[in-house]
Order: sequence, then structure tokens, then C-alpha cells
Amino acid sequence: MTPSSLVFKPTRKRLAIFLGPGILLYGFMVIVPILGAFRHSLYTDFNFQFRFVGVQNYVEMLTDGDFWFSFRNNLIILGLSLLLQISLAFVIAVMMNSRLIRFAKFSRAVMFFPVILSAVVVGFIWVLIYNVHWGLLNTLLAAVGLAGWQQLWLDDPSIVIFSITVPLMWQYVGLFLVIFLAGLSAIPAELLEAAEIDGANGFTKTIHVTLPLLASTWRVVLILAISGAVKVFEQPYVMTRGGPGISSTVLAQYAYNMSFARFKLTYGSTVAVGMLVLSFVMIALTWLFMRYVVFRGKEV
Amino acid sequence: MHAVDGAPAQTQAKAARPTVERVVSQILVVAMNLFLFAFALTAIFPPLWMIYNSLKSSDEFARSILALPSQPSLYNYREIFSTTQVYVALFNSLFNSVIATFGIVVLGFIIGYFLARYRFRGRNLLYGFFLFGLLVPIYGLMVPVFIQFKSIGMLNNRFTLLMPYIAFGLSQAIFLIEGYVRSIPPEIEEAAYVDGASLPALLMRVVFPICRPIIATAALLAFLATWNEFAFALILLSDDALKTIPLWLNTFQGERTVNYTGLMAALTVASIPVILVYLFFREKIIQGFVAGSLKG
Repeated sequence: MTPSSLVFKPTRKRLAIFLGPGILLYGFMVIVPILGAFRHSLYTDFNFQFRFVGVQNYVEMLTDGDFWFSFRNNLIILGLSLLLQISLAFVIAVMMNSRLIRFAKFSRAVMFFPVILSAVVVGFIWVLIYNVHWGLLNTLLAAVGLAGWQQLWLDDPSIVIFSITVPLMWQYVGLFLVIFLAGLSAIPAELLEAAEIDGANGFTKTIHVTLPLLASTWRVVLILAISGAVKVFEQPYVMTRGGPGISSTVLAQYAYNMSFARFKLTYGSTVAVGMLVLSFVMIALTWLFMRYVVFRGKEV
Repeated sequence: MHAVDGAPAQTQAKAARPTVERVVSQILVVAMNLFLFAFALTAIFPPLWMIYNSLKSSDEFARSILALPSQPSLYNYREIFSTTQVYVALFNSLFNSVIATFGIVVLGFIIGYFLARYRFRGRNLLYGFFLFGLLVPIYGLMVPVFIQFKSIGMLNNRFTLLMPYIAFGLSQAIFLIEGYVRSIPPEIEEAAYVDGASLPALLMRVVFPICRPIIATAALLAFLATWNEFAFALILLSDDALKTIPLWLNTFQGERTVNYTGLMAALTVASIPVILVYLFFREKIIQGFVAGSLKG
């Protein structure tokens, strides 16, 4: 619990003075918009003239194929991220933690670097990489004799969702890597040495000792991956604006399109509420899964 | 750079094992090092490719997109800095980032300190209130924030972005600072209190200096986030005079079929501040990201 300092028992007035500004600002920017989104989702609007319609927008949203298609795209991003990005980050973290790697600290700083770049810059870099004639990807494919694999990476509706996912994985794999490394460094070295003496090799050591001890790190990573995948917006916006058609549209882009391209602000608000709800449901399910299946009610 | 010779410690520890096994494990170690080297290369090559191509002319880029520039030239940069938009955008980004970072650090420090040190009614509620900000999918707030700002006439104002930027960065700063304050013994503050310091004096002269390392981390993360922020700037500002660097980059979209090396130079200009910050403070930044995520 909080070590309650004896100095300056906070009076109501003091609390109000010191905490008030931050609470008001944060409430105004985070809580009020959520309540506002919920309120507006019950209206229709034309030129900022709002008319109450009850749950009509929700009925529309639940049967709106484009909404679910956008959510499906978020799920594809999440699935690929779990399958490729996070598992890769884990494997690399285990390798880097093994003390057999040279310049591990330098490599870690290099691998983390894309995380701090602006999403807009990353989007544009990948627009250039995917460029059909002068792009890095098609050029490299040609250089290694795989010209047949060249694609219209951002213009082909059947592959564009994968094309926009790769930059996201590229940018954030380093974040998951350093989180795993932090979790690994908290595992006492004696435990791993004891396993080694008992005859465990690198692989069995990882499966039987490292993995169970990292359960709470995994929880953090999974929650981060989910909230990250649900909120994706900036990189795809820069690369494709959700196109061609709606083939690379994610939920945030869909809410954006509804509000700022079609000027249906109330329906955009409904989509925003849908996005918040889906995100929290997925996070809550993960949390419950970790708590009752992985931890089996023990710890936390 | 990496690899080549294995790990002596490992070789020694397993000296008793048969030679074949030793050779295999040596090969594995080399393979692992090579794999990680290749992976690090994929992380760093695209930005490097962008930077060295920004020193080419469009013609040279069209001839070979991979070769290093034969005659590196700052032509693309001279072009960029001959427009006024870039100066306006740099000023606006700096203005927003500096003030928002300052706001985040000041409010985060005070709230983080109170949450760490005091028990008061509603403390846990307040903790959850700010924790919520770490989990909310932030781009879900774009539409409601736009409606809110439009209805109170706060769009397209010099100060428009400061409120969301401070509010959205606050949770992270609070939890970084709260965790740090918990780790320092309260005796120092109690001694200052006995010496008759007031609360503001205590915060400024005693607690702040102790918290300087974590405040630096919080400030670095806040600066990176606000410098790079695009989505809320996109919906809340349309006035050219207020555009930040990411919005300025976004105007290149229409020209993207023409001048690739010019675009690369612009991307480099936008990235130089974060690259510099990262070069000097990378360990602090990485630690901050890790500590910030572990709270979520």
C-alpha cells in the first residue's frame, strides 16, 4: 500500500489546488469526449443540427458490413502481430539474454530505434519502400532474381492489408523486445544455472523455466498488442487512406471517414463508441484469461 | 560488426564435452549472432536509406535507388528551407512540444507525488482514473474531441493542441513519477517538514531534485510523443499558419509521384530532432518506455 507520509496531511483545499488542474484537464480531454461520443451516438445530425434517434445508429452499425470489415482488418493486424511480431520479439529477447550475443546493448538500441520515429515518417518511408518502380522492396526482389514476386503492394486490394501491417510490425517489434528483455533480466540467474546443471539445454530451459516466469510480462505484452492493434490509424492513413476502396480501412479510419469525409458525425461517434467497447472487451477477456487460466487465480 | 568469434565462457564451461558438440554449439552461436545482426539491419536500413537518398538528385535516384550518392548534395534541403512553410511548421511543432512537455511534467510531478505519498478519500479512484488513460484507444477519441472542440469554438487556435497533448501525455508521466517517489524514503521530506518548509517549497527544493532522473525520462517521452503527434493535429487544425511538422509532411502526399528525394529530405528534417534526442538519451528513453508499459 501507499506509504502514507506523515507530513502535510492533505486537506480538501490543498487537494483541490494541487490536483484540480490536472484532473479537470484530463477529464475534459479523455472522459468528457467518451461521454460525448456516447451522447452523440444517440442522435443524427445535419450541419450540426442534432436530432435524437435513440439506438438507431447502433442498429445500423451492427448490420454495417463496412464496420465489421474494418474491425476484421484490426483483427488481422492483431493476429499477424501476435504470430510474427511478438513471437519474433520473444525469440530475439531470449537470444540476447543468453550472454552469447556480442554488442547486445548496441543491437537493442538499434532495434528499438524505429519506435521513436513519427508514425507519419514511418508511413512515408514505407510508401517509398513499396513504390512500384523505385521502391526498395521491388528493387531488392529483382536484385535477388525474384522479380516474379513483385507486387503493387499498396494498390492491390487483396494484399494491401498485409502491406500496411508490415510497417506496424517493423516499427514496434523493438518495443516488445525491450519489454521482454526487462522481464527476462528480472529472472534470477541462479534459476537458469540450476536448470542448466540439471541438464536443460537452451530450448528446454526457455520452455520450462523462462516462459512460466514471464507470465506477467506476457500479460503486459498482450494487452499492449491488443490496444495497439485496435487503435491503429496514422501509418495506414499516410500509406493508403484506407484504400483502395475500403480494403485497408481500420476502425479508426472508418470513424474518421464517416465523420470527416461523409460528415456523419453522429455515426462516426457511434463507430468510436464501438471501437472503445470492442477494445475494452478484448482487453478484459485477455486479462481474465491470464488471471484464471494462466495464473489460475494465484498471484495478482 | 558482430559474430565471428564465439563466446569463450561457454567454450570453457563445456570443455569436457566431445569436440563435435563443441563445434556445433560454436556454429549455433555464430548463426545466432548473424541472425540478430541481420535483424538489427532491417530495423536501421530503411531510415538510413531515406537519409542517404535525400542527398541525391531525383535523376540520380531514378538511375539507382540503392547506390550511395556519388556526389552528395544538400540541394533538396536548400529547396525545403527556401519555403516559408517549413519554418512555420518547425516553430509550431517546437511551440507545442515545449509547452506540452512542460505542462505534462509539472502536472505529472504534482499528481504523481500526491498519489505516491498521500492516502485520501478517492485516491484509488483517482489512480484508476489516470490508469484508464493508458488503456483507452486514443484514436477512438478523434471524432468526439473534434465535435467538442468545434462546439466550443476551439478549433484552429494557437493553443488548440496543448490541451489534448498535455492530457494524453499525463497518465504516463504520473505513473513513472509515482513509481519513483514510492521508491524514495519519506524521511528526507519529513526532515524538511520539521525544518519548517511549506508544501510548495518541499516539492520544489526537496522532492524535485531527487526526482530529476525520472522527470528527465518523463520529459523525453512527452517530447517525442508531442513532436510526432499527427492524428489530433489533423482534425483540429486546418489553418496553414498553425500546421505542425507532421501536417506539413502530409502535404507531400499529392506530390508523391514526382519528387522522391525531396520527400526523403523533408522526412529527414522532421526526424532530426527525435534522432538527436535518441542518440543522446537512448537508454533513458528505452527505460521510460519499458516502465510506462509495465503499468498498463
